[in-house]
Amino acid sequence: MVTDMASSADGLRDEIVSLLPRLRRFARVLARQPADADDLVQIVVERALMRLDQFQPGTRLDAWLLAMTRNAWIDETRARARRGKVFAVEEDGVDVGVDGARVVEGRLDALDMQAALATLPEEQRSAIALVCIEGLGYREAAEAMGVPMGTLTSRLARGREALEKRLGGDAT
Amino acid sequence: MSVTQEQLMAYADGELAGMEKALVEAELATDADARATVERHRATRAKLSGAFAPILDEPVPQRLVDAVRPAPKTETANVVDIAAARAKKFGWTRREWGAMAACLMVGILFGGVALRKPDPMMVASNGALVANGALDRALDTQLASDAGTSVRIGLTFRGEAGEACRTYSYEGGGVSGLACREGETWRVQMAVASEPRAPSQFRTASVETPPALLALVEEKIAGETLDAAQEKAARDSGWRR
Repeated sequence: MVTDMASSADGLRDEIVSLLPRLRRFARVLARQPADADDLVQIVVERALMRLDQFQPGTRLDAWLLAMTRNAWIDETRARARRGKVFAVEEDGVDVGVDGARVVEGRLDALDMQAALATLPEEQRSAIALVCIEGLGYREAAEAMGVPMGTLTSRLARGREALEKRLGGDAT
Repeated sequence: MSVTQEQLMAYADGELAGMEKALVEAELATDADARATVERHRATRAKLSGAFAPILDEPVPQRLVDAVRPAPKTETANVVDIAAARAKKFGWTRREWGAMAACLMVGILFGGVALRKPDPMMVASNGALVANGALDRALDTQLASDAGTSVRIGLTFRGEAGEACRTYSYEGGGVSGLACREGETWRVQMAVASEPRAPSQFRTASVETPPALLALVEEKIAGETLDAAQEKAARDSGWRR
């Protein structure tokens, strides 16, 4: 039993490594600046390893780590706010305008989308990212965010609406 | 309209089942606006995942991988390992030598790729492979008890001709091997790709010496491995014979 637990801990580490690209992706939705996002992932990994025994076998490891990523982000933004430190890109609503002339088409869509998503409040951004980008079901996303299903659904709906509005012509 | 906007969104996301799904589908059959809404949700979702998909293809920074799999952190157990290896009295078959040669190739290739920056760990010199850069410095100056650089030193011993020989490994696994002093350089006798290991939490794992490497040590060694004091003395005398 003890060895089972030890080997399953090793297995979990392997799984965490394979999930790193996805954690980086979700962190990029939260932090936007790649360096900040990777710092966030590092914090998450350290926390996850400390709490490995709290992971419930049979549940989704990706959802567990994504939830931890969001919580770590919230902790981190609060801590930085207390210290009066601002992120390279502000939390809400800057850097929306993308200079179309200097961006190749296609890439522009992606940048537009990333920039538009960045203008949403964190709650809507996380809901959208967990469902539309990370592919969690509504229930899993709700659990990851620690809210009821109904709350998740309305954040998702409001966020999408705002996103489509911005992409469809920047009507504010 | 009998279905809500949120139901249309949930349908687009594949969240509905059974009666609710049937209800929405009945609505879609007759309601062009509802169909357009579902299409819009799907398109947004596809654009979103497309916009962030390239991040998955970026190389993951090594520091994140290292954070998941901490490098082993002790310098004991090599002595025990070699005693055990010795007790076994290695007799190598042709097959084992072949395996070792394969390991050597992998090791050199791997080392060349992984450690090219900033300096190669080995360079060819007069038809021999000699240690270079961080590996050369570690072999020259580092003791088995030293940590902190990318290279760890394992065993130190003297060969038949009195030359100093040392095993090394890269922190975080990947490559380990043996180098012996020849003139002013360290000639690499072996470089093997060691299996990357995922040590379980809080266990202080020893630096594992691959069997092929241990066998080579066994071949080369004259007498015993040097203890910490002898190792330090040998270093301080410039690895003279």
